[in-house]
Amino acid sequence: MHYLWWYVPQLTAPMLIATIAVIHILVSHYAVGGGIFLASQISRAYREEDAEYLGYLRSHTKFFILLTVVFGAITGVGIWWTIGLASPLATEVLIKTFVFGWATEWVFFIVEIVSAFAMYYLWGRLDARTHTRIAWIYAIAAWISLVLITGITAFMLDPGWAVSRIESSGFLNNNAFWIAFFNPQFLPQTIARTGGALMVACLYVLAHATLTEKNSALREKAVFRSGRFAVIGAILTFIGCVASLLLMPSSARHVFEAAAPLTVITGVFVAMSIILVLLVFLGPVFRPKWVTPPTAIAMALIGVIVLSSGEFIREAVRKPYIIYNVVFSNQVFPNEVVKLQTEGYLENGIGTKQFVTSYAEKNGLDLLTDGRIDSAKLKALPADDPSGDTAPRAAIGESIFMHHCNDCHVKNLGYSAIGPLTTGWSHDKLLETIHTLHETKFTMPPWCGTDAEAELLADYLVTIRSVAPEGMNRGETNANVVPVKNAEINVNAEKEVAQ
Amino acid sequence: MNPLNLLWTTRFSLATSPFAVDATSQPPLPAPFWFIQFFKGLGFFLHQIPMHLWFVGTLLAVALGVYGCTHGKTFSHRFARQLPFLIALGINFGIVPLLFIQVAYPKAFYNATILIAWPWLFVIALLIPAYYGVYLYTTGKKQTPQACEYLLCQWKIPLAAGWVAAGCLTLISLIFATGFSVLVAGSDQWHHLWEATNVAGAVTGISLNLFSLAFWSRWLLTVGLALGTLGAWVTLDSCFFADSESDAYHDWSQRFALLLAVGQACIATLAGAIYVWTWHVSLGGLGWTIMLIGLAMLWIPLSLWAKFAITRWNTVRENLRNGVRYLNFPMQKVGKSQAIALIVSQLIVLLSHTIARQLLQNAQIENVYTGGVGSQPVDPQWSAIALFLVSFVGGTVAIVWMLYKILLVTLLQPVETNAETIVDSSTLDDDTEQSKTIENAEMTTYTEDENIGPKNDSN
Ligand code: HEC
Repeated sequence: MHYLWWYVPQLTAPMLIATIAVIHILVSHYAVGGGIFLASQISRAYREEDAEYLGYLRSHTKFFILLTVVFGAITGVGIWWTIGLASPLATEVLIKTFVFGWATEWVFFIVEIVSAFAMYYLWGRLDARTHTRIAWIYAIAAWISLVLITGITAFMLDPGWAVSRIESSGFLNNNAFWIAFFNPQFLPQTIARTGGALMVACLYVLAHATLTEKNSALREKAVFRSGRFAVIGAILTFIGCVASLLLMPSSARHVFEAAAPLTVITGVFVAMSIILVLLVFLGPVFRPKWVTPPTAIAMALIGVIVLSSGEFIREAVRKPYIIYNVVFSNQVFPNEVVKLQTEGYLENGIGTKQFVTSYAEKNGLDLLTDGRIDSAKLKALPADDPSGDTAPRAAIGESIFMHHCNDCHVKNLGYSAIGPLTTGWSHDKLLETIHTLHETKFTMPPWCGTDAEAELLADYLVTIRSVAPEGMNRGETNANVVPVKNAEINVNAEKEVAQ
Repeated sequence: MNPLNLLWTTRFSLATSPFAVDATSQPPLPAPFWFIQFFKGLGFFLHQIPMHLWFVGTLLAVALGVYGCTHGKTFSHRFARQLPFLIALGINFGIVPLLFIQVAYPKAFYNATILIAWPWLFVIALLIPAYYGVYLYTTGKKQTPQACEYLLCQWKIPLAAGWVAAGCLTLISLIFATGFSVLVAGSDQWHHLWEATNVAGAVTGISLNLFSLAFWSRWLLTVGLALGTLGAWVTLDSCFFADSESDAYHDWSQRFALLLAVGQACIATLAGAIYVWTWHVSLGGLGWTIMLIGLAMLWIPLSLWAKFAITRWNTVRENLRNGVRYLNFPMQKVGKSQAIALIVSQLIVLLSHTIARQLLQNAQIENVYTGGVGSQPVDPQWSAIALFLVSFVGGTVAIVWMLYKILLVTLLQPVETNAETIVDSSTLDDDTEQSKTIENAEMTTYTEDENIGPKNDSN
C-alpha cells in the first residue's frame, strides 16, 4: 500500500467512484450528443429559414446548458476527486501517463464553455453564419473531449501493448503515452460512446420537447428529427459494443460468465437496449405523434438503465485490477507480489506499518526487529491478550483485511460483505481460501502477504463470518468429520455473542 | 483533538515518518518540474480570479440585494447576472492546477486528501446547490433593482437560493483551506490526524484541522485577497461596462471598491503575517524576501487608490462623524486609465501571491518528498506535451475569435429589450411575445446576410 486507505463502511470506497461515474455519464454523453444535435439542427433551421423551429432549439439549448455546463462539469470533477481518494495508486499511474491527454481535454472544455454560453446568450444577436459556426465549434470540441477521455478509460480496461512498457517501479515508461492511448479498446469504445451520446441526446430531446413544447407540429418535428440521431446512435453503439466485447481481454469476458450478478446486469443491458431501439423505431421514427410525456419519460428511464448498466459492467469486468494488468484493486502492482509475500504486507504499507507500530506500543507488545515488522514475532502472538479485552491477532488481522480486501468487500453488511460470503466457514477453510485467493475467484488478486499474516487474517475473519443457519436438514452426515467443525463454529458463535 | 496541534510543535524526524518518500527514487515526471509548476501556477492564477469573485462576491451581492442602499442593490443586480459565467469559468480553470498538483506531488496530495476524504468529497456535493442556487437567484431577479423588494416579499425561493449558494460557497472555501493546510502540514501533522481517525490503520476520512491557526490564517488570507479582487472587478465593471448606470452609482461603486481594497490590505496582511508565523520550514533568504515582498504588494492597490482618488484625508474627528463604514473621504472620479492601473495592480498582487504560494508549497512538501520535490527524476513526454501546447494555442485562437464576435455583438449592437439580460426570466417561456420578436430579429439578420447560403453550411 503506497497510500493511506480510506475506509468507507457498507459501500467500499471504489463503489463511490462507480456511483458518481454513472451519474456523470448520463449528463456527459448528452453534452456530446446534444451538442451535435443542436449544431446540425441550428444550421438546418437557418438554412430552411424555420423561425419556429429555431425557437424550439433555443429553449432546448437553455435546458442543455443548465444541465451540461453545470452538472456535467461538477460531476466530472467529482470523478477526479473520488478516484484520487479511492484509488490513489492507479490515479498516480494514470496521471503520470496521461496528464497531457487530460490537459488537452481541458482546453476543449474551455472552448465548450465559451461556445455554449455564446451560442445561447447571444441567440438572435449573432448572424446566422457565426451562430452556426459557434454551435459547430461546441459540437466538435465536445466530441474531441469524448475521444480523449475514452482513450484513458479504455486503457483501464485493456492497456494492450503498453504493458510491455511497464518499468520495474510498476509505473509505465513515460514514452508509452501514444501506445497506451491507442489501446485495443480505444476505437470500439469511442464508437460505442459516440453512438451512446447520440441516443442519449434523442432521449433528452423527447423528454424536453414533449414536456415543454405546446405547438404539436413543432414538437413532432423535434421528436422526428432526434429519432434519426437515435437510429444512427443505436447502430454505432451496437458496432462499438460488439467490437469491444470481441477485443476484450479473456478474463474480462470470463467475468460475464462467472459472476451471477454481472450476468443479470448484462441481461438487463441487452434486453433494455433492444426495447429502447424498438421504441425509438415505433415512436420518433414512424409515429412521432405517439411520443407523449409519459412515453418520453419511460424511454428516458430505460436509457438511464442501459447507460448505467453498461457503465457498471465496464467498471466490474476489470476485477481484480483497477488498471488491467497494471494495478490491482488493492493498490498493489503485480510485480510487487513476491516482495510482499516475502517481506510482508503490513511492513510495506503506510497505514499498516503505522498501525502495527502504534498498536504494539500501546499494548506493550514486541513486534518489530530493527524497526521492521518481524514475521516470527507475529506468528508467536497470543490469540488473546492476557488482560482479556483485546485480541491482538484479530486486531492486526483486521488491518490486513482493511488494506487487502476492503476495496472489494465490506465486513458484515453491505457490498460483497465477507461475513455472509463465509457463512459457516471453518478457520482452516478461511486460511486455505486466503492462500489461494486468485484461484478461489479469479476476480481476486493473489494473496500478497506472509504465512504469518495469512493466519492473522484468518483469525480476524473468524470474528466476522456469519453463523451457519440452524435447522437445515442436510440428511445424514458422516459423524466423524462434520461435528468437529460445527462444534468449533458454535464455540465462536458463543464468543461473538459474549462480545 | 490535541490542543498542541495548534502550533504543531511535536515533530517527527523525517527518517522515521512513514509518509516520507525519497524524491529522487520516484517514478519520473512526464515534464520538467518547472513546466509543471508553470502550468500549475498559471492555472491557479486564472482560477483564483473567478474563485475570489464568487467566494466573497456572492455573499455580498445577496446581502446588499436585501440590506443595501439603492446602489448596493444595483451592484447586487449587476453582479448576480455575471455570477453563472464566473462559476462556470472558475470551476474549469480549477481543473488545471488540480491536474498538475497530482503530477507534481501525488504522495502528498492523495494522502492529505484521504485524511479529510469526506469533507473533501463534500465539496462536490456543495458545488451543486451552490451553482444551481446562483442560477435560481439570478433568474429570480428582475430587470430593475427596485424589483429586489418585490423579490424579497414575493420571491422568497430565489432569495433563499441565493443565501444557500453563498453559504455553500463559504463552506467550500473553508474545506479548501483545510485541504491545503493539511497538504502542506506534512507528515507529523498527518500522523496526529491519522491517529485520531483510523480503524485498523485505514482512515475514516473525517479529519479536519479546524483548531489550527495555520488553517484559519490561511483562510482569512484568501478572504482578504478575495475582497481585493472583487474591488478590482467592481472598478472594471463600473468604469467600462456600466455606462447605463447613474453617476451616483459610479460614485458609490468607487467608494465600495476602495473599501474592498482597504479590506484586502488590512485582513490579508494581518492573516498573512500570522500564517507566516505558523510555518516551520526553512525558506532561505531569497524565500523570505519573496514572502515579504508578497505582503508589501498587498498595499499597492490601496496606495494607488490614495493617489488617484482621495483628494484629502479626513481627520479622525471627521471619520468618526461620517462613520468609517462609508469611507467618506473627499474623492474624485478615477478615469479609465487609472482604473486599468488599479486592476493591473490587483493582478500583480495575485501573481505575487501565486508565486509565493508555489515556492512555499515546494518547501513545505519537502517534509514528504525528502530531497525536495524538484529533485524528482524527469522523463519528458515531448510528443504529448506538443499535443497539449498545440491544442492550447488552437483553443486560445478559437476562444479569442468567439470573444471577438461576442464583443462585437455586445458592444456594437446594444439591444434595448430584455434580450440583453444574461439570464432573463422571460426566456423561460418561449411563447411570449418577446421571444417571437427575437426570433423575427434573427431571421432578419439571416436574410440580410447574403453570404450565407446552404452551400456554406457544414452539414
Ligand atoms: C478485486 C476485488 C477483490 C479483492 C481485493 C478481494 N476479493 Fe474476495 N472476492 C471478490 C469477488 C468478486 C468475489 C466473488 C463474490 C461473489 O461471488 O459474490 C470474492 C469472493 C470472496 C470469497 C468467497 C469465495 C467463495 O468461494 O465463495 C471470500 C472468502 C473472499 N472473497 C475473501 C477475500 C479476502 C479474505 C480478501 C482479502 C485478502 C479478498 N477476498 C479480496 C473480489 C475481491
